[in-house]
Amino acid sequence: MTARVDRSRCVGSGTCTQIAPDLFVLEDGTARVLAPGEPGSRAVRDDDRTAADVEEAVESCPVQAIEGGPA
Amino acid sequence: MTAVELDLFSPAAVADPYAVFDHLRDTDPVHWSPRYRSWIVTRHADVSAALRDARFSSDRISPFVDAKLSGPDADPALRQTFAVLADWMVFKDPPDHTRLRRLLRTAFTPRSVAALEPRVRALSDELLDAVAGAGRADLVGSYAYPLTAAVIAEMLGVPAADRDLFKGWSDSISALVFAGLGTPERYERAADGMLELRDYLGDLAERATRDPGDDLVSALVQARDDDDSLSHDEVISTGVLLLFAGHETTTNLIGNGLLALLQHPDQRALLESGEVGIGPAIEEFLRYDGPAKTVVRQMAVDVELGGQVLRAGQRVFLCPPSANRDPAVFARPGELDLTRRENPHVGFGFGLHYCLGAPLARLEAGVAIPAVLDRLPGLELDPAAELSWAPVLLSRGLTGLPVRWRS
Ligand code: HEM
Ligand code: SF4
Repeated sequence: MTARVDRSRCVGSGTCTQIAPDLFVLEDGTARVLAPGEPGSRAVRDDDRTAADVEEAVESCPVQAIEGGPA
Repeated sequence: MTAVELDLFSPAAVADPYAVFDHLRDTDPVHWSPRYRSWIVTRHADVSAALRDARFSSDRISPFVDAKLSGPDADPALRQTFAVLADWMVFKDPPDHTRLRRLLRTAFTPRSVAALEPRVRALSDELLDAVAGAGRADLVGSYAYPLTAAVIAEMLGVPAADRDLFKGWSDSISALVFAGLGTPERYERAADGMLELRDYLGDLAERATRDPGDDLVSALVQARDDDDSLSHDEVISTGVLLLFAGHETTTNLIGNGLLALLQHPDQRALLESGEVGIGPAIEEFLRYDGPAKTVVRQMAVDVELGGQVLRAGQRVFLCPPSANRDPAVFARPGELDLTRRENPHVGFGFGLHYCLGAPLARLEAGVAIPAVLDRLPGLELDPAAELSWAPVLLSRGLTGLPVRWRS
């Protein structure tokens, strides 16, 4: 499971970082995806919880800036 | 331009704030206004930097409450009124803000809002049925305003019979929160309206606790985040906030958007022919003439911005309409262009306070504007009527949109 944030669209609402703080961080006001192994990131990225979190973030982002996809 | 013209309340500036904003952006982009005892920030870069900077605090109400309303002779009605405002997330910084926003998050996702579309459409049809035969109407007073009130009232679970009460209370809160406060009597009437609304929502919340439905008040009562939930008072305050934040703003998006189309037949043709979808059109309405005129912050500490030092405690007006016409970001900023691809407007704000209701506002305007064009053939501005704008600092909206059509 992968996630990508289009940072030129992101409006920094913090919605995705609230849903999954171990997948997304706000940096200089916009979101980016934490790479596996990065401090704070979730170690396992293909579990069901990750998939559910990414899906929720994709659906909750107010400006459709997040894209989810297979690894 | 003279100092008088820099008054954002002058009739000329109320009618066309863009001339004032253009001038400020060019000559003094972080401007100290002695009249408002506030900074006025007009460049896109500075507005969006401030909106993502925690040192620009949203907690601008507790100093006021402490100073004006905690003394022994503070007016009790006013104190109660401000107690309602004090729980609003829009006046809070993290972590209090984060907590409230988390508890409301799921109610306003694009997906949960999309489920409301059939109801918005039905309400819009009902209102258009009522005027269609007349050949003329004020589309703000008889369409946009009642439509957006009905949507939020229905969402909260207000029975149809109480809609008109609700609309009256909405007027009261606007009078109270928007800076255009006239006389003390007006202020008192507004405070009374707010307390009536508070009591009404209190009853709704109690009913929802006993017998929850699928309305928003029930969702607020039941909202859980781990062990956390909203208190009874927070449910009420949040209900008031949603009415206030969602009613007049969305009315103005519909009104300003329709006006922009009526004044730009070429752009209207693009929309009517389907060459441009309603989605990008709405983003352009938000950029070109959006409802949020200023967003207010208070400095938590001294910060340098655009060569000025903003001191702790000072108030700041960030101006989205000015940022949205900044030539450093937008080509031909003064032109309505529904075909813009990149449109990083700040009409819904930016950052942690980014409009929670944005998906709902987009849905409502996305239904309401095309419905008018479909249903009222040969629609045009009423040539006999003059347009006027509400003289308030926080928002940009028409007092009416007089139009006529072939009936
Ligand atoms: C076109 C219509 C609308 C516009 C232009 C608009 C604009 C804004 C702006 C600029 C902010 C940011 C305020 C700040 O940063 O201090 C905001 C916040 C907010 N809006 Fe909207 N709004 C609209 C419609 C709505 C609707 C329909 C609702 C809900 C029913 C809503 C609920 C809220 C709430 C709850 C906040 C506070 C969010 C927070 O503090 O985290 N708005 N809105
Ligand atoms: S939810 Fe969307 S807009 Fe909000 S921070 Fe995440 S990517 Fe950005």
